[in-house]
Amino acid sequence: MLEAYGSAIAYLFGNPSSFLLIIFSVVWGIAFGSVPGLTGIVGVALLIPFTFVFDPTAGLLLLSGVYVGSTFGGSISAILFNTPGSPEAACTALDGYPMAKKGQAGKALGIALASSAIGGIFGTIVLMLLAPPMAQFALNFGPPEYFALAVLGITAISAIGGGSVLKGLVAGLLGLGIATVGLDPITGTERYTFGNLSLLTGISFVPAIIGTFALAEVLQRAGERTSTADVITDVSTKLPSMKEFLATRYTLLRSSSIGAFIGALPGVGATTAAFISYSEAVRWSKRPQDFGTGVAEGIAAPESANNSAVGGSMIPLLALGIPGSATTAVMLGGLTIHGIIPGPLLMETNTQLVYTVFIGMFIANILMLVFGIRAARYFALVLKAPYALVGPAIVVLCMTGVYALNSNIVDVGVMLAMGAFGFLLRKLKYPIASFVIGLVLGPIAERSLRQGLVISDYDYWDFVSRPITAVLLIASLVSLIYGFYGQWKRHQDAQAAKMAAG
Amino acid sequence: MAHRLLDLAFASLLFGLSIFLWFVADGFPESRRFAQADADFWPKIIFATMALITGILAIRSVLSLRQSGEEMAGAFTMTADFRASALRVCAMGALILIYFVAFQHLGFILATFAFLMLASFVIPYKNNVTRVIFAACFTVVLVLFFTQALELPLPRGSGVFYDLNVLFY
Amino acid sequence: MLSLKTATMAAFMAGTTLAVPAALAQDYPTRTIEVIHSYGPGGGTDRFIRAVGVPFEEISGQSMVPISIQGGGGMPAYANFQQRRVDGYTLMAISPDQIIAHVLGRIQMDSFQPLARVQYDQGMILVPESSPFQTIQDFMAHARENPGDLTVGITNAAGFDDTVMGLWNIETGAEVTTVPFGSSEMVSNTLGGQVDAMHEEYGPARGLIESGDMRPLVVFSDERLPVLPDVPTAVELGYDVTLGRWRAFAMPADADPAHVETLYGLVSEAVATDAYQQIQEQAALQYRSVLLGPDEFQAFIESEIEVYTRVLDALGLTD
Repeated sequence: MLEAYGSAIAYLFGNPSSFLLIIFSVVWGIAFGSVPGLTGIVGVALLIPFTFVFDPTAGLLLLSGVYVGSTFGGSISAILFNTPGSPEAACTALDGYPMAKKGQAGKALGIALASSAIGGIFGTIVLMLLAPPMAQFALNFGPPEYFALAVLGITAISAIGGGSVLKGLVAGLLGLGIATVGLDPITGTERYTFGNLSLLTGISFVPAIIGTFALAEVLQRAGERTSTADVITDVSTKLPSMKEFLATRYTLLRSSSIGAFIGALPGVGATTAAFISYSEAVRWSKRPQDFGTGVAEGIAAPESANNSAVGGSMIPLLALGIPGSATTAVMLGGLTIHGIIPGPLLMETNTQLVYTVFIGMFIANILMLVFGIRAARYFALVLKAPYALVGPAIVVLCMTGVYALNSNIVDVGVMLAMGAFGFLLRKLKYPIASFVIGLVLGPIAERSLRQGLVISDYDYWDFVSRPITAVLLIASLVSLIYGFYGQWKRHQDAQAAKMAAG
Repeated sequence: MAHRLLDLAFASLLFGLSIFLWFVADGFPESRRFAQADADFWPKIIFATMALITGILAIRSVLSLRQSGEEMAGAFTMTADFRASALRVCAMGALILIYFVAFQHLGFILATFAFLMLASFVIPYKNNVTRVIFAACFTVVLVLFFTQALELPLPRGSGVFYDLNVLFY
Repeated sequence: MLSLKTATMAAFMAGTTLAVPAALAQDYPTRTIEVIHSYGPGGGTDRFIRAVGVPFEEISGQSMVPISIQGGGGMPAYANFQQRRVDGYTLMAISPDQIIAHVLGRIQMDSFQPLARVQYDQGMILVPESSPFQTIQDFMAHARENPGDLTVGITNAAGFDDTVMGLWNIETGAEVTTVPFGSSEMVSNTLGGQVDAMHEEYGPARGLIESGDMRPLVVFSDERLPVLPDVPTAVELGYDVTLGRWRAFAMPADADPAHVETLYGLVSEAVATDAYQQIQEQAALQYRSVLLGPDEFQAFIESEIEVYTRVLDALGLTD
């Protein structure tokens, strides 16, 4: 292993241009991530033709750097404009934007950046040290375990939102319901398309997220009476103080671990990791009712998890040749073009390639800190511009990004509809966080539940009695009840306080 | 007061909708192979639960409306502030919709330029020169970025607009 | 404002006059050819178009770019293709998914003018290393004794994999249960022993075959693969299952025949280059990828429709 790292370091120093490649890829990734609609997948896919001119190692360095950068980049626009630049960052907007609105844009960006780097480095270390055993362990996760994991994330909606519990549940169910539109994942039949074939794609996640967050925000801002008084003024990117940051250390550790593990599960990626770790942060918090109002944990959790998931999703790719996420699937295609056959033998036959990528990802995460601060500063300048120009520009960017992503005008329509819907939900105080969690985790829950039932021949007992599944499901149930109890208790306390005051 | 009425209306709407969607799910074509966990399996669970909860929500809003029934009269009067705000939201919404239509028929360049110009009037802003320059520059930058740098397609519109836009990208 | 308007007008006038010569066949192609497909950016089809596009550009001087319109069983891509002007600059990359959509009544295959079928892959049934089944005979013996007990992981519901396994069930008279997954989950669930086997093409599975983690039992082709001389074909066993995933180009049905001819010439030249052949070999697609021209391809499509209709009817997917 030491020898392998030796050859990797020798490669990097033998090809100084590879450092330039990493720099370029991280910057490209951050830029791509921050434009709404343009996801890391597109960023990686567009660079694949360029990897032809490099050797495979350089090519993979380039692609993994983009992956690292884009996962962070999305959080910049999520925090500054409530416009998640990439789906991975949707969760970051939940607390990042409220914090920025409170005049602490610098702090929010700083937490996001530092958490991203810590999560990213954590994920890379897990990848370096534990790739083969993690990949083997992840294989124990069949559909019942995926289902239980999704349920665990979904039940957190009982603890989210300081307002009405019932509204939180309805918002979550709305998300779950909307996610069922389109082709059925098991039978392939049409659901809720009402004969309209263009709805077969269903409500794609990226347009839905951009609609509910960004468009709803523009509408909201358009309605506000004073447009200039509410401008976010503090736009410097000072990192949060050590004390502020250390306060989130347990969240960081928990979220990074969740991220690395969920990333290692094939078929679920950084977005799911971000939401599940957000759910867990809410669940483990002493003050769950504050989430959504701009708390540090609410940014640290998703950002460390989604960047940690980047390293995690490289695990099945490099250890088994199975891509852990959509972006790594594109990378796998890129490797194939170079004549490298991804599979369990890759780590033995292409040692130098694999270990160079490990080191490269490490460096990319550190560079992300350096360039992230710069990128955030440039972006933050936009906050000084009048909203009369910025607001419409955000609409245009969202429309263009969503259209260019898939050339599908229906996606743009979906985005508009979800924008109006998100605006309505906000106005009526239905928590957006619950809605989005339902939207993200619903398809995983449904698909894996039904896959598991087909495999177990519709034996529900067989399904729930698997050890990991059972533990996760019991935990979900306990937390569901505890969540309700906590909300009920806070409600009672508030009533009592009101009585005492009145 | 108005928000309580809205709450009730929305909860009742969702209640009706979830029942309707439950029945739509009931009508999904049956699959022979997966009959025991068919296409309607999951949606039915969701919409049944949703009907239950929105039902409770609706009843609760009715009760709370009753309690404060005497204030009913004030429910429909709007402050001038609220009206102006609602007007701006509607104007922005309408402009976005028009942009969406124009996006497909006029192509990206014309629709975007016009939208950026018009939408900037919704939010109070005085500098007309900046308005025009910004709209023009932003459109040009986006067209160059998407079509030249990324080689991703932008809508070209239909008819004569198509011929026009083919010249640029 | 006024000057901008006149500038636009001028550009517009120029546009209408320039558009005329573009339609003449001798000057074709004079701009980028766009190929619509219904898969992800960076996916197999996207890479296929780019792989043809590189030599295509060297030969014709015009580039060929993929446009990815994902999801919805290919419907959004098809809708976009239908809406575009028929000027020879829009192609669609078609595959068995379009045949399936046709059989399910969602699209019409006769709205395509077949141009060239380029790649033709072959699928296999694979079991994990730990599986008790050493040969396809063991596997089928178990399937016959316990109908529906064996589970086979496939990608996408009611899609190509479903059709192949459906045909396999019809031909063998035994019954295996298909479980639809996303492609990476299918592999991990098979490796982890959640399902008994999976259906996958040789290219993506070869890493796992070489490492010994997966064992191919049968290959759906007319001839054995030279790299896997010990794996029998379904045809040898007496089951006529040779369906494979193919990748091809099509133009709109009312495309100018001169354009079809020119473009087919360019594509066949591009496909014949070493650059393309090398990429094809790296993806392990060379075994039965024979280039079919417009007429042969049309006949191929018709025979495919026949088979798919039979299978999808039997699966109860058609109305």
